[in-house]
Amino acid sequence: MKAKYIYKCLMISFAALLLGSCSSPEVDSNFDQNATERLSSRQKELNDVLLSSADGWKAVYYTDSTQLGGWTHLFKFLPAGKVDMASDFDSDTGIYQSQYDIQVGSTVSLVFTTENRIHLLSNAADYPTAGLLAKGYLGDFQFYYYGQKNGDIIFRTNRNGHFLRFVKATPKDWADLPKNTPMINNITGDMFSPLFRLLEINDGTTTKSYDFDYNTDARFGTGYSIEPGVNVSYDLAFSFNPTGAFSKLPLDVKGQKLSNFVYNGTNNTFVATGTNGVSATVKYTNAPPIVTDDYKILLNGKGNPQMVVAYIAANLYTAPSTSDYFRFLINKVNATLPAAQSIARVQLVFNNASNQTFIQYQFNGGKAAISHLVTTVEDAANKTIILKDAGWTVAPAAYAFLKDIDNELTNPKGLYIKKESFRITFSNVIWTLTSASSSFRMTSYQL
Amino acid sequence: MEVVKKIWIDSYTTIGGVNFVKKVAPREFVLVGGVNLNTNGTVTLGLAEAGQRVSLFQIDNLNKKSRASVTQFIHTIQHEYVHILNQTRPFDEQAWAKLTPSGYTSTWYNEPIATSRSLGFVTSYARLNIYEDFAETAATILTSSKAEYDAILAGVTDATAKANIKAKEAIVVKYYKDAYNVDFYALRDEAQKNTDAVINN
Repeated sequence: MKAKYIYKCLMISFAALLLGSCSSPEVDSNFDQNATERLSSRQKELNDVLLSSADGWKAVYYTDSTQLGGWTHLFKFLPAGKVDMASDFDSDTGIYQSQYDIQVGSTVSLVFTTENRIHLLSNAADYPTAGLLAKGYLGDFQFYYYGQKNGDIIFRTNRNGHFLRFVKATPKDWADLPKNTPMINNITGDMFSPLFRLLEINDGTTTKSYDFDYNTDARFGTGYSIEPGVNVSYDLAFSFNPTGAFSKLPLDVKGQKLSNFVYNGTNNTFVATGTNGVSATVKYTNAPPIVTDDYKILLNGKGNPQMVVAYIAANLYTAPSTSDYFRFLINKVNATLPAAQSIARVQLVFNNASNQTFIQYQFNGGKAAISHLVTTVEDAANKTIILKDAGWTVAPAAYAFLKDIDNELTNPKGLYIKKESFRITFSNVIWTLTSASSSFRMTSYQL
Repeated sequence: MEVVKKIWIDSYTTIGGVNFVKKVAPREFVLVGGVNLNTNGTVTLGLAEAGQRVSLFQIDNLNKKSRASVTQFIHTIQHEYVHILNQTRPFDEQAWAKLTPSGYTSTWYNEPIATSRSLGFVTSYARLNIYEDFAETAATILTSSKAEYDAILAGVTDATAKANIKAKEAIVVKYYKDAYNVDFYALRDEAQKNTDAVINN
């Protein structure tokens, strides 16, 4: 009995052994190499392709085309983990060297490990809009390698996963980079540039104007329709090149996609041209997009009540609605005065009890006020009020230092007057006076 | 990190003994090139967390050839290390708190340094709380030459304020001696010597 028992156990275990050994451990592998080999060969592949371009690579980096434009970068990858880099982020288009690394994160990635031009887009302390506080320009310096297409290298950015394409650079690309700077300056302007920007869209038959609100740091602008009741807007996300600006977001006009805005030096405009008369133009203008009738209450001879508005230096020099050019003129006047004296107020009195209208310049430091009597003329077509000279309270030698600023207030095309809805420190109504011929804009309190 | 080693570690090693920094030191350094921006508009230059990790920011701005740049950087390290020393062995908080109790404020960044000094604080940041006060006092003395620190004191005209700053200095010196058996002034001289070495090489 025992022997049979043992024999049965032996048979069962022998069978188990046989059955067990029948399962095949061989699995067909999908890859020729194992995971480690694949990762290393991918790293080598990326490094090789980066080094393979004799003149390096060019990338126009749009960090987030819903709110920002594009910055052109040039890279020349060198042995031993070094890279030469240049960008048009600011007027310094020089070439700087730093280090790069091919790292393995969620996938093989190119990382710019030491500071260079590309890191300017990810500086917490430098952000173009209030909404991007501490986020910089949403730039990255780690890029995931997604492969190659037609000789270009395709990456995805670390933070927001957007695509970034590296295209083989040519010697011309390197020579052309500094030429982006004048184009950027053309659209940025300076304190003398007209205060308003306009986007004009011509669909071949009619031209419509849009108030173009452009942020020069963000390289992004939105055109808002100025037709009452119309709620259309267009976004443009610009990168720059030696001939003008290119928008990542094309303007759709009558089915045509307009993105290439070529700079016209004669008119100081950026124009994208389509076919059949279709075009889009970005230009400066001295006329505000929406012009009000607020000036009418200031005119002489209409039985208007007295109105006094005053620019008070202490509160309104720094107002956002005060233009840089206005501040420049005030500073110029103050520079001619002794240290203890400066302009305290530029006060305009309209239609007082004696039917007079005048500009009064009041000073700190004991200097007596100087007044310039004027009469008002209406330009009904353009909705401006023109102040015409009617004599000064002092001799020409005594008011010569005020001539520049006074000429702006009395310029022949007049002033756009706007009763604003915002307040500054006090509850007084704010009126802005904007020149129709220059970037002069003064903020004043209604007194 | 060479700057860190030469000016901070080597100074403490020379004065405090070869194992000083090995025993009481952060185990991890984090170097960040960019800026750590706070919501109130100030920046954070360094963090010392639980005696284990020191994070240093704005490394991209460090210019090894500029004494001002290196001193600012080292001030941050010395300041954070003082926190770590405090986290291991506390200083006499009661004695310290008695000196200038009314001058502490959470909006220290609005205070000009001259005002803070006239109230008995070596920097405006020292006014945040007694821990920052201690760290700033120690760090300022360690990163200034004797002449520079004497000049700071000479610039404080209010007699009470000057007496308070000197009283705080005394607590710092006593702390280093009692808690760690380190001659604070010798440490300062060693750090100054090492700072010169870094800048001139």
